[in-house]
Formats: sequence, structure tokens, C-alpha cells
Amino acid sequence: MISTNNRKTITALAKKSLKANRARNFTIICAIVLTTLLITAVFTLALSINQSMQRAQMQTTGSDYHGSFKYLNPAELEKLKNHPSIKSYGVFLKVGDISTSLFKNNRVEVLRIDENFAKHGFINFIAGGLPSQENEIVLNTWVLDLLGAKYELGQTVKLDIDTGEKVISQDFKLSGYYEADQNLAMSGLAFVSEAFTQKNISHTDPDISEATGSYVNTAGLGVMFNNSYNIEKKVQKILTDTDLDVPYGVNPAYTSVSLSENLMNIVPYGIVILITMLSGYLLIYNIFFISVVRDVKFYGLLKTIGTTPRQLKKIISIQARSLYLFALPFGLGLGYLLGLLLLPMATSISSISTDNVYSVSPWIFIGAAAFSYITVWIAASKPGRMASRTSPVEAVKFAGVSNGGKRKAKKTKHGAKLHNMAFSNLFRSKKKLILMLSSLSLSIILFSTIFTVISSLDVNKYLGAFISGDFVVQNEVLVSITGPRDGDPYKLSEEFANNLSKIDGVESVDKVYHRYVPYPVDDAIRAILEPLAAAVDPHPYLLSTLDKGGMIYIHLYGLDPGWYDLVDKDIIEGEFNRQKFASGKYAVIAEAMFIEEDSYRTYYHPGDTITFGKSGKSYEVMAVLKYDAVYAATTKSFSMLGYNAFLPALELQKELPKGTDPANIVSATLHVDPDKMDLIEQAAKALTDSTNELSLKSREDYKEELGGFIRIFQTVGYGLSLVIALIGVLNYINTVLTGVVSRRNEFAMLESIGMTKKQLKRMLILEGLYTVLLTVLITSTLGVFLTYNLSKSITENMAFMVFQMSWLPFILTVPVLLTIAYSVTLKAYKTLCQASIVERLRETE
Amino acid sequence: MPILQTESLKKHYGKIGSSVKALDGVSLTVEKGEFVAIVGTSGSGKSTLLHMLGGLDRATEGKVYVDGNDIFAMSDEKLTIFRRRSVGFVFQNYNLVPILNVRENIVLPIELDGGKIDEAYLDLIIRTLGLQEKINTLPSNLSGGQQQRVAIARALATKPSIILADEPTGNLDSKTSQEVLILLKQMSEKFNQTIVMITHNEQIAQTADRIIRIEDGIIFTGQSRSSGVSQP
Repeated sequence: MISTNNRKTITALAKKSLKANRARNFTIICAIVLTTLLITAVFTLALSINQSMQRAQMQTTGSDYHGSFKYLNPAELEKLKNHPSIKSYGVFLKVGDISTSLFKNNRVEVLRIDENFAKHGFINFIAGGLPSQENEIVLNTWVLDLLGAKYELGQTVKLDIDTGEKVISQDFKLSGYYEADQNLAMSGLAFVSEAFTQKNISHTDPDISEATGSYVNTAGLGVMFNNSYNIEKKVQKILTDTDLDVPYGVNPAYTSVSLSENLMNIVPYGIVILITMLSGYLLIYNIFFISVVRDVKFYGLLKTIGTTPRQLKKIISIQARSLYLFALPFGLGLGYLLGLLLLPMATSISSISTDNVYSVSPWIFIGAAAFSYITVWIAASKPGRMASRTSPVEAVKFAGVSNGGKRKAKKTKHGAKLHNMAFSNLFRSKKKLILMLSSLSLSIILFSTIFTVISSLDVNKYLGAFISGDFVVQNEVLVSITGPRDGDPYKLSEEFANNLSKIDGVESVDKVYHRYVPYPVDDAIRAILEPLAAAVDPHPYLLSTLDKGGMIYIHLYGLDPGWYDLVDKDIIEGEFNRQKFASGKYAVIAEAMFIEEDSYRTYYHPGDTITFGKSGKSYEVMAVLKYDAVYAATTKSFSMLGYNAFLPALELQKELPKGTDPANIVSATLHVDPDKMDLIEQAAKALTDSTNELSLKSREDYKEELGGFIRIFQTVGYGLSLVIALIGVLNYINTVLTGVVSRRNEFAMLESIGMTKKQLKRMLILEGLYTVLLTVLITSTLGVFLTYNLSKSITENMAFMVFQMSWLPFILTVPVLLTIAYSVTLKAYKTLCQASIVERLRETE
Repeated sequence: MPILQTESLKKHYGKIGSSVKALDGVSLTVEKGEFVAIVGTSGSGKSTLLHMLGGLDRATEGKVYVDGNDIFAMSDEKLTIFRRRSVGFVFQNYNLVPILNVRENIVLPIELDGGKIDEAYLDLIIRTLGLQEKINTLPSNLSGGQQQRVAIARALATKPSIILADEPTGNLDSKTSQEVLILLKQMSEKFNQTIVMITHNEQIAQTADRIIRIEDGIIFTGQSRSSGVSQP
């Protein structure tokens, strides 16, 4: 076969064709820009969030080293750090803990580290550097705050350091300080010099301290490999090679929290990308399809003079590719900006508390470019095949829109009424119609789903979960969604609650008392748990609970009368009687939480008696509640196999046998005179601000929090549906305009036999109206079905949502659609009127 | 009484100075019931003349009277309504509406006018044109000759004062052309219709009662049995 150099010709033809279709190009470029924009934004968000999560995890772990070896003696350290697979390493030496009484609740470890370790351990000095003198030390900002020291180098702080064998008390000079997030790292870190370790702990035998558990004078080695794949294997290989057996760690940031590890996290991003690709595809495909149909004579002609099908396909694909390349930078740039804009919003919903990391990974752009290229490629390939298949003879005859179709005849009783014509016109090209309708419906369904989900957010349910009165003072040590915090759990005392009630305007203060009570497994519990343990592969925790001496753990709450109203709501069995309950002989219990997700059962039923802890007093079960009943009163933490039990507050205030800790107060809820709201808030704030452990929040604060959530949902959700809707409308505009243009000749003929301009306009407007009707027909059947099921399953899996089908989006979109249809038709009609009948009649001749 | 009359009709295209004179002063008269053929080579101005006669286009100068009405004095809207009542068109490429079946295509001008369909008359046309088997068929399934017959039926449907045919046989083979011409002639006789037909084919023109020749926008000769053609 002789290869001919015809590529230039084909490219030239494609270029010419591009130049001839400026309006079409513009629409396609818009479609590609919008598609790429959304995909890029999603990629930016996904990768940035992933990186933020990794960073947060690293800060919790303490470094970004791939792996680490712990509790090493000098010989082991020497052997390990010289292994050839290690790219870089950092070393730290355990010195002890700060034992100054101020740090009772905040552990601060004392280490000696090298420069490398500081770099990888997020030790970003605000001022100064690592110590070199024996009396120098590095502390972080919150430790300085606790000490009441200024952020100033060279100042002297007195600290006690417990090195296991002895406590060293001495004055240190601050050689440097750094910023650290108290909530992230497991403990605070302080760094001393080599001179200090030489003097104080060099004599400690690391092997002995390891055995005693103080680990003083043992070294740790953080290592970096070439890449983060299979870290565990690499670490193990080092151990095998060096023939050592020491504890090691793999940085979880590189495995457990990354998005790729948790498929569920990818799903929402995947869905957004898929919807975007689908709607982009619908539009781009429709545009190319229409343009191929319109230019069918052109392609037929090319074929008659010897253009091969392959070359015809190429003409289309070259056009698609050029448009793609033109649109790509805009889409990527705008999408990246959008992603960066949305990132702070997205992260504020999740529990990541670090600063946002803005990912600049090239994968964002590579990924988004690839996905939008796939969209364009799929969308252009079918029309390309169509062009390549045109029979030259047919094509030259082809009038434009009439495709013989399968219908040979149609029966009518009446003649040709305008509305009938308009209706039939819609169905001329079913493909165009279907593409247009699905594109429009897709955006409406997306919008209505998002709308329904957002309007399903239940303010009362949200408020009810956190607050029952006007203000709540919460014991942050006990109640924290992300886990208990250090601090004095008795800061919220009777006395404090008394002070609250003395504020002018406070009508009542309802307290919740709490005790965490171990409870030996009794027959009732055994009866439920044993069948579960008999199943295949039972959970080890279940087995150990059933062992001799096994315990379950009960959260025991004492409620003030103000809480009683909330008990009624969640009753499963029995009845709640206030007077009887207040007598102190009865208990209300919640269902126990089992190991499998969402499985709850109760061990007891109304009428049974239970004895909690060492008090010896037994209570009759009055009612059984849902596992998370009276959620606002609880510590928001639940124990596996255990349950929540509620008694009157007085029962928990009672004296207990010697040796047991008194009950904590979880929260104090204030019911106040609405006129004195502001004054009370100020007074209560003054009381709570003096302590680290307590927080004051009003009903309004919670409402605002929810408002913030809703705003984020709205911005992200409506933004997404707006872009998809824009694509749908573009599809509609393009279909209508090209439809009118390609029927110019036919309209001229209709006018020649006596259709007035008014009638023509009416017919076109009717066509628009029918399109809207058909769209409404789809959205009101399939759309409602999809919206109902999608939003139902979403809301059921989200907290604080009560599914509530919303009809508004379906109704709201109708006038919008009508307006669009009317104005687009009018525009199309105007372009039509620019040429005279004769000009239009001649066009095809 | 003449059904169609033009007075020194002129149509110039393009800018002044470099304009093309498609029609350069044409005056003609057609009597009721006449079958007239206008013959000319391509570019002679015959199609332009036909468009003027039917009110599809407006003249640069001069007047056209159809049934005594000065059609250029009407507004676009009025002219369209007048056209659908008084003028029937038959085109070379049939120009049927692809989404409508045969019957719907035929009655379309009546429907557009909001008029009542004269069923008996409609039936007569359909039978005469031999379309009774095809009334529910869509145009794409008809042969060229059949499509042109539908177009003729459509032109007759409103009982117009005049039928204007633009190369009605241009896309047909000679046998079908003959059939269509015979039908056209039959119609004009049976319903006493006036027909003005454009063609470049001498042989076809011979079917007509009278032949008008046009060249470079000027009427050349008019052979006729009855009335005369005035020439400037």
C-alpha cells in the first residue's frame, strides 16, 4: 500500500469546517469549559482534602516520616540508620516527662532531637532554634501559655523533668519556641540539648528503661524511603536485613486516612464527576450530531470525491480536539480557582481542624484534563461515525431534517392544525429531542434532589440534639464529639451551678449528672450475648465480655426534672411516669449498642430490676428508650455492648460508698426570662470564661451553626446544579436555533402557501411550550421518583435530617423553563425573519 | 375580465449602479381560465416574475393586480392571507411538509386560514389526481410524480383565483412529466382554473394555451389564440 501524505489536507478541511461554524464552536467550547471546570473543582477539593487529612494525621502521629523504629539502644540505632534503603532519617532520644504540677492534665514529653527530626516533625520555630547549652530548652506556644510565660527567647522557666529514676528540677533558658496544635498532637514536646542528656541520663541503660516502661535514654529513628508504597514491607525488610527485632511503626497518614483507602469517601466525588461528564456528553454529542446532520451534504460530497470514512471521522475528531485544547486551559484555571474557593467551606463541615492545605498536585490537572477529554472523545465519536457512514447519493439528496424514519403513514381525522404540527415537529429527530430532554431533566432532578435534601434539614432536631433550654453550660472535659479533652472533670460543680442560678432572670437550671459504671455480665445480658458469640467468627470483644469476670459499661445519668419532657419522645417499651420516676425507685434505660453497625437491643424490660455499681440500691425498669434517647443530655459517647441509664438527679447526688468518685456534672441547662437574654448571656459568659473546661452556648449559637452548615450545602449544591443547568439550557438553545435554521426552507414554503408570520411564530412558541411540557412530564414522573428515592436515602443516612419531599423545585422550574423557551424561540424567530421568503426558498436549490 | 395583470414590473437586485435587472418592465395580462406557459433560459427572470405574481417578493417598480387587487399595496400580513386564499403554488421540488401526511398537506392552506374544508370538493380533487389510496401516507414514501400530484392538490384546495407553477416537472422523468401536465391541464379545464407555469422546456410549454417568452427580464414574444401581450 502506498501511503499518501494527506494529513495536511484533512487538517485543512477540519480547520475550514471549524471556521465555518463559529456559533457551534462557541457552544461546544462553553460545554467543555463548564465540564472541565466542574471536574477540576472536584479534583482540587478531593486532593486538597486528602492532603489536609494526611497532614492532620501526620501531626497527630508527630512526623511525616514513612516509618519509624522505637526504643533503640545505640548499637541498634547505628545498625538501622545505615541501611541502604533509607533515603533520609531523623533521630530522637527520650529524656522523660515534664512533671511540674501545672501539666497534670497535659502531658509534655521531653526529647532530644536532631535537625532532621525537627524538619519532619512539624517543629516550625517561630523564633530561635534547637538548644545547645545544657540549660537550654525548646517549648511550644501552648506550654508557654500554661506556664504564663511570654513568647521571648532567653527567658528563664523553672521546670521539673521526670527521667524515671529521678526528678530534675532546674531553671531553663528558652532557646526557641514553636507553634503546635494542642488538639492534634498526642502530647506536647519539649526539647533539650545533648549536653543535658550527657549530664543527666547517659548512665541510664536503655534496655532496662525499656523493661520498666519509662523508655528513658532509648532512641527513636524516623525513616524516609524513596516512595510511600508498601512501607510496612520495606520496614520489615530492614529488620530482616539487620537481624534485629525492635518495635516499629508505619505512619498511618500514608495508609489509613487517604481517600483511596476508603472507597466510601470517593463515592460522592465520583457521582459529581459522573453527572458532570454525562451532562457534558449530552450537550457536546447533541451539538456534533446536529452539525453533522446539517453538513451531511458536505460530507457526502467529500465522500463522492474520494474521502475515506476514516478521514471523515478524522475531520470531526480533529475539530473536537482543537476545541478541547482551546477550552481546556480556561476550564482548568477556573475550576482550580473554584475548588480553592470551595475548599474552606468543604473542610469546615468535616472534622479536620488543621489549616487547609491547598493541593497543587499535577494530578488535579492531569485527572481533570483526562476526564474531560474522555467526555469530548465519546461525545464526538458517534457523530464522527455517522459522518463516515453517509452514503454519498443519499447525502446529496438529503434535505436536512426529514429522516424517513419507520413511520410510513399517520392517520388523522382533522387536518393540519398548528398545534399538531408543532407537536409533530418535535418528534422529527427523536435523538435530538431525547438528548435535549435528558439534559434539561438531569439538571432539574439534580436541583430538586439537592433542594429536597437541604430542606430536609430539621432545625428542631438539630437543636434538640444539643440544647433543651435557652443556654447550656457544658463540661467540655466530658462532652466532646471528637473525644474527651484533658482537664478537671469537676469544674462544673454544684457551687458553679448555684452561681448560674443566681443570675438575675434565670428561671431554672437543669443539671445532668454522670457516672461511668462497670457492670458484671448477668443472666439477662448473657442470654442475649451468648447466641451472638456462637455465630461464626465472633468479635473478640464479645468473647472477652462473656469471659469470667467480664463487664459491660453503663453510662449512668441523673436528670433534673427539666429533662423529663424529652424522655417521652423516645420510648420503645413501657410508660414514663414523672411522679413515680421522681420517687427514686425506678430507672429508665436505653437500648444497648451492639458491635455491628446500627444494631441495638435491650437486655431488660419494664418490671425487671437492676442494681448499678457498688451503691447496692436496685431500681425497677420503668421504660426502655432508643439507644440515643435524650441525646442532648448525654456525653455523646456510647460504650460497646453497654447502654445509657437514666435516674433522677438526686439519686446520683447521694453519698456513695467510700473510694468511689462522686458523679460529674455533664451540663447545666438554663431556662431564662426572654427579656433578660443579653444580660444573662454576659453574666454566664463571665463565669465560664474563667475556666478552660466549660463552654457556654445559646440556642442562637446552635442555630447559627446550623445556618452555617446550610449555607455551605447551598453554595456547593446549588453551584453544582447551576452549572449542570447551564449545560442543559445551552443544549436547548442550540437545539432550537439549529432546528429553526435548518428548517428555513420549509418555513419559507409554508409562508408561500399562506402561513402568516404570526402563525409561524405561534407554531414555534408552541414547539417550545411542548418541550417544556415534555420536560415537566419527565421530571414529574421519573424525576419525582428519582428525587424521592435519592433524597430519601441521603437524608436517612444524615444526622438531623427528616425526609420531607419537596415539590417546590418541580413547580419553580416550570416558569423558568417557560421563560427560557419563550425567549429562545423569539430569538430563533427573529433570525428567521431576517431573510425574505424568496431568499429562503432558493437556499436549497 | 383579466384575472392577472402586471404594469411595467421591474425588479433590480443589488446596489444602484452595479445592479442586476432581473425584470426590466414587464406588462402582461392573463384571462380567467387560461393556461399560460412562461418560457425562458435560466437567468432570464422567469422565476422572479413568478415570485412577483404570487406576492412572494415585492417589485422595485410597477404593479401586480390579482383578481383586481393591487397586491403590493397590501401589508405583509394581509398579502400572506390574500395569497393563501387566491394563489396556489406548485414548486419544482414539491415542497411538501415532511411531518404531515398527504391529506394534511393538501388541507394545510385551508387550515392555516381557519376555513372550513369542503369535503366533497376535496374528495373530488383527490380522486381526480388519483391519490385516494395515499391520503394517510407521509411524503417521504411517495414517488416524485405522486408528490407533485399532492402539491397540485394542495394548490387547488383553497379554490384559488390563480395557480402558479414553477417548473412543476423539473424533477420528473418524461413519462411522469406528461402525466402531471395532463393533470394540470385537466384541472384547469374541469375547475376553470387559471394556471401560469414556468418552464425552460419548449415541448412542455406546448401543452399550454399560450406561451410567453422572456429573456433578460423583458418579454420577447407572446403567441396566443386569445388576448394580446403588450410590449413596451
